[in-house]
Amino acid sequence: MSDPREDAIVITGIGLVTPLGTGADAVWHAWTNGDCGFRALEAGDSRLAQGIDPSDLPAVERAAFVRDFVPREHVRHGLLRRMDWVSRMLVAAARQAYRDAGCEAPDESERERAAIVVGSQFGNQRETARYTRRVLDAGIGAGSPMLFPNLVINAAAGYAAIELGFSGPNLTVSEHEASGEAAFVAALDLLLSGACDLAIVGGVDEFGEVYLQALAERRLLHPSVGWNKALTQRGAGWLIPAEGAAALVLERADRARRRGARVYGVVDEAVTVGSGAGPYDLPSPAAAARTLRACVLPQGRVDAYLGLADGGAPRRAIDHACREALAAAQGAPVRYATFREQCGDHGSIGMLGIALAALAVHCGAFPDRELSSARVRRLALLGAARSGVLAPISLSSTDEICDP
Amino acid sequence: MGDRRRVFVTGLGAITAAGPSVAHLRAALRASETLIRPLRLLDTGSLPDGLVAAEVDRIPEAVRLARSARVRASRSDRLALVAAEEAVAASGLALDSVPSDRIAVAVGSSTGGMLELESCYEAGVRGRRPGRLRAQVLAGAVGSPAALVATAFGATGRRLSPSTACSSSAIALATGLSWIRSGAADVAIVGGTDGLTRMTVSGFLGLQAMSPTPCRPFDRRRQGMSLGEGAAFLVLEAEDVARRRGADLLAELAGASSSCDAAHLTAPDPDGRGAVQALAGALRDAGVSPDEVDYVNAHGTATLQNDLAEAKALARVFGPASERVAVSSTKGLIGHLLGAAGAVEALIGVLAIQDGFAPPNFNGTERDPECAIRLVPPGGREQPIGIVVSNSYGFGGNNCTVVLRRP
Repeated sequence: MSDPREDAIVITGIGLVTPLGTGADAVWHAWTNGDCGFRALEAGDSRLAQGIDPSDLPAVERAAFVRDFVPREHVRHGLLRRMDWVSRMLVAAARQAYRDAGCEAPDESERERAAIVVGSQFGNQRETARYTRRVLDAGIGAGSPMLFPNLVINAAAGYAAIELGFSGPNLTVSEHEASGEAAFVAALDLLLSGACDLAIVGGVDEFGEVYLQALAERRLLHPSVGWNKALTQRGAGWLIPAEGAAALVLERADRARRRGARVYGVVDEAVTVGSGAGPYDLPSPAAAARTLRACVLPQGRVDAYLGLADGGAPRRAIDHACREALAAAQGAPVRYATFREQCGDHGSIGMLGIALAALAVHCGAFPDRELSSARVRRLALLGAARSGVLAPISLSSTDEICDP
Repeated sequence: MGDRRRVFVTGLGAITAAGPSVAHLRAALRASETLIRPLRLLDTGSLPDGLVAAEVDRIPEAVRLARSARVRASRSDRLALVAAEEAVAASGLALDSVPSDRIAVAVGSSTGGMLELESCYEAGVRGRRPGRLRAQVLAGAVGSPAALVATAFGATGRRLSPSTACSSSAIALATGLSWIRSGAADVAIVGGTDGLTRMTVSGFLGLQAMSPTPCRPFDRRRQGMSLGEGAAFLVLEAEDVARRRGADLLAELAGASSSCDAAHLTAPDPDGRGAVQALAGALRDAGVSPDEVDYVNAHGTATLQNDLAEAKALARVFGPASERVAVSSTKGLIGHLLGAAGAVEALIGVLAIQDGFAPPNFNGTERDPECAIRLVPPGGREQPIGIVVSNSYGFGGNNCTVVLRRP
C-alpha cells in the first residue's frame, strides 16, 4: 500500500446486504456483471407480509428486495429476536464490515473510541405501520411496549452498538435521499475532530406502503415495465423501490497501517452542503455540477464518476451536468456508471454507492460500457436530496491492486 | 485546545408550552408553575383518566415559511421555523454579511413529521382520502426542519439532521461546535424540534413510563415522565466573527461529548457509565474541572431508571463537588421535548448564566434519597453562574453533554 497522509481517513472494511446479494464480493461481481436486483411483487409475497398489501399498490409491480441474507449468520440470536427488519439489515452489514476490516472484539479503551453512524431516510416503516394501525384502531392506550422501542429512527444504530460493544459516539442522521452520504460525512467529521478512532458508518432503509402510495400518486415510481426495459428506455419512469444496508469501517491511515489493515480507498473529500434549492426540491444540475467540481477537483484528477441516476430524468440531468463539468475541467471524458438502475433506490442507498466506489478504486476497475477500462485511481460520486442538499464525495486508491 | 476557535452563543429562540418566545420561557422559569396540563391535541378518549402534557397552544405563522411549505410543513417544521426566526433575529446577525456557504444548519428531531404520517394512516383506516396528507408524508422526514431553516435563511453551508431520540438536538449543538472549531463554518444555526405525536404518547404509555400528573424529577413521589413539545434554536458564531461585528456574546459553547451505553435500547445503564463518559468527556473538551461547574440542567425525566442512573453519574464525576453544584430538571415545567430537549435545556442554561438564576427542580419537594445531588428548591435560586452543564440522554443508549461558560 502506498502512504496516504498519516491523518487521512481510509476505508478498511465493507459490509453489504443488498438486492444484488450479501457481502462485498457478491455485490461487486453482480454489479460489474450488470446483474439486476429487481423482481416482481406477488400477492402473498412473504417479504410483503409484514405490512404491505400489493393490491393497495397498483403502480408498484417491481421492487428490489435483499438477496441471500440470513440474519442469524451475522447477528447474535438473543439480540436478533428483538430486532426489526431494518435493524437486522444494518447490524448484519456492520458486523460484516467489522470482520472484513480484520478487527477483533474491542477492549474497554477501544470501545469508548469506536463510533457508530447510520443514515436512514425513514427508518423502520413496516413496524411503524403495524403500530400506528393498532393505536388508531384501539386507542392511544394500545401502544405496544415491544414495538415502540424499534420505531425510533436510531434503533438500528443502538442495536449495532450493543452487538459490537461500541460505547463511543452513536449518531443517526436523516437527509432525505442523501441520508447515506450525509452519514458518511458525519462519520468523517467525528474522526477528523478526534471524537473517535474508528467509525462504522452505515446506511439502511426499507420501504413502506404509505410512502409507496405517496410516491405512486406523484408519479415518482417507475411504471410497470421489466427491469431490462427500465435500463434501456431511460426516458421513462423513476425509481424502483428498494431495501438494504451498507456499512463501512473508517479509520485514520496511521491507525490502519499500525494494525496492518487492508485499505480499500482513501477519502479525499466529503461534505454535505445546501444548494440554494427550495426545501423540497432536488438541486439543479448546474448547482450539482458546480459543487462537485469545486469540491473534488482541487484534490486532483478524477478518472470516473459514479452517477446517481435511478431511471428518471431529473437525476440523469444531474449526472449529465456533472460528467460534462468534470470532462470540461479535465479536457477528457470521465468514465461513468450507475448502480441504482440495478439495485433500486432508497434514501440511504448512497452508502452502497460509496462502498462500490471504494471497491472500484481498490481494484482499479470500473464498469463503464463505453470508455476504456484503464485503471481507475480516483473516483467521484454525489448525493443529492429533495431537501436541496448536495453531498460530493471523492475517493482515491492506494497503490496496491488486488481482487476484492 | 489552546489555539482552537472559540464558539459563542449570540442568539436564542424558543417556542414551548410557555409561549412562542424566549421571553415567555424566561418568565415561566421564575413563575414556578408547571405548564403540564390535560392533553388536548390528541384523542385520549380511550383513557379513563386522560393524560397530561405540555402543549404549544398556538404556533404563529413563521414569516420565512417558504410558499411551497405552507401545505407540506409539519407541526415540527412550523415549530422549528418560529424558534429559528427568533434566534436569528435576536442575534442581530445580518445574514448577507456572512457568505451563505459559511452558514451551517443542524437541527435535531426524533419524530419529524410523524403526526402528519399518522393522520395519513388514519385517513386510510377510516376510509377517507388522504388528500394533501400524502404530500406531507413525503415532506415530513426528519431532515425537513433543517431544509426549511436553511432555505429560510439562505444558508448553503454544512447541514445535518441528527436523530438520536432525546439527545438529537444536543447532538446538533455539538455538531455546530465542531464545524466552527474546524473552520468548516463561521456561523451555525442549531437546534431541535418535536411536536407531540400519537406514537410517542402511546409508546411511553405502553412502556408505563408516563406520569398521570405533572412529572416530579428526582422526587421520591415520582410516577414517570411528562411529554412536551416545542423547538429551540441557538445561533453559534466563531469568536472572530462575533467580535468583529460587535455581537452580544450570551455564553460560550465550551465543550461537548457524546457516548453510547451499548447496553439496552430503552433503559439506561443502571450505573450511568455512558452518562459518565459523556459528562467527563464534555468537561475535558471544555477544559473545565468538575469543581468549577455551578449548575447542571439534568436530563431528569422522572423515570426511576433515568433519575437513578443520572444521579449516580453526577455523583461519580463531581465527587465531593456534588454537595455544591446546583442541579435541576426543567422537564417539570415544559415537559420532555424529546428531540428538542437538548436544545431547549441548553438554552435554559444560557439564561441561567445571563440571569444568575438557577431554575427550580419543578414539582419536586421531596428529593429521592437515592439521588445524592443538590436539587434547586422551588422558586429557584439567585446565584452567580459561570459554568453550566446540560445532559441529554435517549433511546438507543445515546448520551450527550454540552458545557456552557459565561463569556
